Amino acid sequence: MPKSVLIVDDSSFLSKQIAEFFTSQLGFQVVGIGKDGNEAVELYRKHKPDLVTMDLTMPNKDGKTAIHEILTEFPEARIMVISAVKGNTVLECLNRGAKGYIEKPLKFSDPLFVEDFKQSVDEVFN
Amino acid sequence: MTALTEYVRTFANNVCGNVRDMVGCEMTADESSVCQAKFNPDRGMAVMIHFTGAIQGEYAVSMTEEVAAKMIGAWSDGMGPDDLRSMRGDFGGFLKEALNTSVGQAIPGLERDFDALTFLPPVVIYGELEYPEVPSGKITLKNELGEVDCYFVLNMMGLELGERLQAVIQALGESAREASAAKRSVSSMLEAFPAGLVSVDRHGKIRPGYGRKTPDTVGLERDAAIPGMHVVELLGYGEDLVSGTDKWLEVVYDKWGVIPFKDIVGLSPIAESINARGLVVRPEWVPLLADDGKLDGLMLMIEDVTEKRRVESEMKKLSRLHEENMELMGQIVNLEPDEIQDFVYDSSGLLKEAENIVETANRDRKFIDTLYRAVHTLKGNSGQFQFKGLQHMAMEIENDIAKLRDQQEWESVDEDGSEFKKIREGIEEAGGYVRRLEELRGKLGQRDEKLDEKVVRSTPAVMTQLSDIEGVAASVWGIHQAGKSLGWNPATLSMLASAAASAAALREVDLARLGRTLQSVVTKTAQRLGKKASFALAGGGTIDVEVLRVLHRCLVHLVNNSLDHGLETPQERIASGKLETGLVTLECRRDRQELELVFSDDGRGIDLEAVRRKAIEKGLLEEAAASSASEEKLLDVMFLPGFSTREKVGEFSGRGVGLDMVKDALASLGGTIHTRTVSGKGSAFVMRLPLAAAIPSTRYLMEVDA
Repeated sequence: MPKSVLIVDDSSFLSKQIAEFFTSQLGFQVVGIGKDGNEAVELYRKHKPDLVTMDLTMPNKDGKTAIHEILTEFPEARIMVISAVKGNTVLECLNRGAKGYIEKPLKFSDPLFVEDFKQSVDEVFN
Repeated sequence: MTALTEYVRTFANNVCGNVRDMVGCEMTADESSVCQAKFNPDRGMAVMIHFTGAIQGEYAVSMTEEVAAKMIGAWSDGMGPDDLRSMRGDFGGFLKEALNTSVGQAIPGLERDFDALTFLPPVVIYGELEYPEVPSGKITLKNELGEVDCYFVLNMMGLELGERLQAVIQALGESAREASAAKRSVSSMLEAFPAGLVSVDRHGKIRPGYGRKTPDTVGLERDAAIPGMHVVELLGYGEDLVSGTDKWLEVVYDKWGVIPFKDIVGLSPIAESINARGLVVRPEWVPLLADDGKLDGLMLMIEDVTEKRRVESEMKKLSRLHEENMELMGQIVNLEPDEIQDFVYDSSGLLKEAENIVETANRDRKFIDTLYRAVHTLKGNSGQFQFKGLQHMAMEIENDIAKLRDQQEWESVDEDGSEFKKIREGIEEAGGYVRRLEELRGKLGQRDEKLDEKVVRSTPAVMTQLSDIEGVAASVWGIHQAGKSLGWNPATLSMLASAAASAAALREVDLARLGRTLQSVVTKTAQRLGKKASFALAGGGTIDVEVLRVLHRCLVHLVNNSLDHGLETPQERIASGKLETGLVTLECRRDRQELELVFSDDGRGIDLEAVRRKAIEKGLLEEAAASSASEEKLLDVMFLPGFSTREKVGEFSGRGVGLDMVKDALASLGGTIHTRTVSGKGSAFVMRLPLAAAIPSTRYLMEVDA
């Protein structure tokens, strides 16, 4: 059975790109796409995906809060941060239990970046 | 056999196997000599490669000259030492090839086991070699031709830096004795390590034991108390980085094995920057792993890159400035003053606009878009006018802005304003370029005033560039000539001649430029004289820029002369059945030897009687000679110094600078001038210049054609 992933990003263009990457490159099944932190929490409860990719700067509820809420309710959740934000916010998310960090912009045309991304996903599951 | 000797043996066997392949015949290895390496000076000849990095060492192949001669098939019986000595060039090549083949194949193994290594080029050595007392291996290969020694020497000082190497040794079953020896030499490794090296605990404190070079690389006194110091303090970075670094270290230590190090290393607040002690310090985190894969500690390698960065930036600035100035001058010479003026005006405006936006540091998307547009337009304009340097700068700024603009969360990026700072610096740099353009333009030519001097003037810098170009062409040509006498092949010679021609062609400009300036001289002069005239240029091509200056001066004189003396007033022209507007033309033609320029007008022609009278008056011809002088003779007199047919000194011509000056100027280029005239129809001045002087590249191109 393929692994499932929930993608959370307020840019629908990016969400599509990330979804495409997970589907075609990693054989994941995309079970949901959330546009803000609220949707992230709701969709997690509904689907309990194997992995969540979480943007940080989003309207309504930001990624950091969503990560905290999801992990409080589901401590086993695997969450990767995908964001252009650097610095403390990311460290706090990692400290709180996020399992990886990919820096934006996402250069899907760069094979090195793609390799790197795949490896990070692998390591989340190991 | 110890682990180390085992390693050496395996490796040496490996490379020797390669040598065996190289020599191309079966050889047997005398493995008993492994790890008893005493260099055999009797062989007398060796080639060695030296490598350095986490370890240092050498790999060498050694044989006698006689064996080498046999192996390359150059041996014949009765050869003496002198014969062999004369073959040393061949031996060197053979040995190096043998070495490269064998070591080349073994390098990946070496690099895997010993981290990155640098290999220095192989050296051929004659005579004795002295080897240090270090672990080494030797294998002697034998066949019917003779013996070859292959040496593999490791300098194990500092070996313990690489955990990987320890693992290799452990995997091979390291003896207790060697393990303790390894521990002892940690300190010697720290002594010798070329960069700063410290171990940092989870609270950011430096652990005891650090690389000897550490204080130097961060700008501290040699005896500074480094252990216990916070890593940010050690590096001399701002205190504001302490809490961020602490948080980062906490996450790295706590989340080891959970979050990949590569994901997290980029988040470290510590990165290359100038420190409080004025050094540019480049830190790099290296995790140390324990046997079970757990994090043993974080090491920080520290490099002082102050000088490196300074030299880099100086070099970059210098080469950029040089290129830009050349480009600017080239374009100024090519463009009309009005065009340059407009370009400077537009560019300054765009840059000012961009600067204003950046000054406000407004992160509103609308502002960013406006900024982007301004810089984008600047890029387009400079591309249009071939100001490549400025185009490049604009492109870099544009990229920087695009990076901001294209961020999905662009409001939150550039929190520290560093991106904006970069953009501002870019804009300032571009502003400097435009100012320099304006300055050089001022030096090169005054707008509107003294049009005729515009092309003639030049800065010493332009002259230097021109003579540089000449020098390049000449030296390439020199190589060509030498090659020719040495009988190089025609294709090479032809290529060199083309290269010389291309270099020489850098001095050449389009004749159309001369046409453009003459056009305005004709229009303006006619206006001031109350006459009507138009100008046409026929023919084209390129011409040496210096020759162009001379021609320009001559032609301006001829234009003034024609319009003042030759051309009738509009009324006179209508009365004589001509078109109201006179026509002045310049035709350019070239053949294999000469460039011919014919300047003509359709005016009243030269008054030969007036010339005759003036010649007598000025004492240029005896009265008798004058009255019998042919038309040709009389027209030549016009080019004598002191001749002027005009009674009154005209505004434009006849200021004592006559056609004699024109003739002299052309003669200085090896050229001539003659005139023809038909009464009532007009006159023509025919100028001929040797092609090699007028269009220098042809001199070399002729050789290519030949």
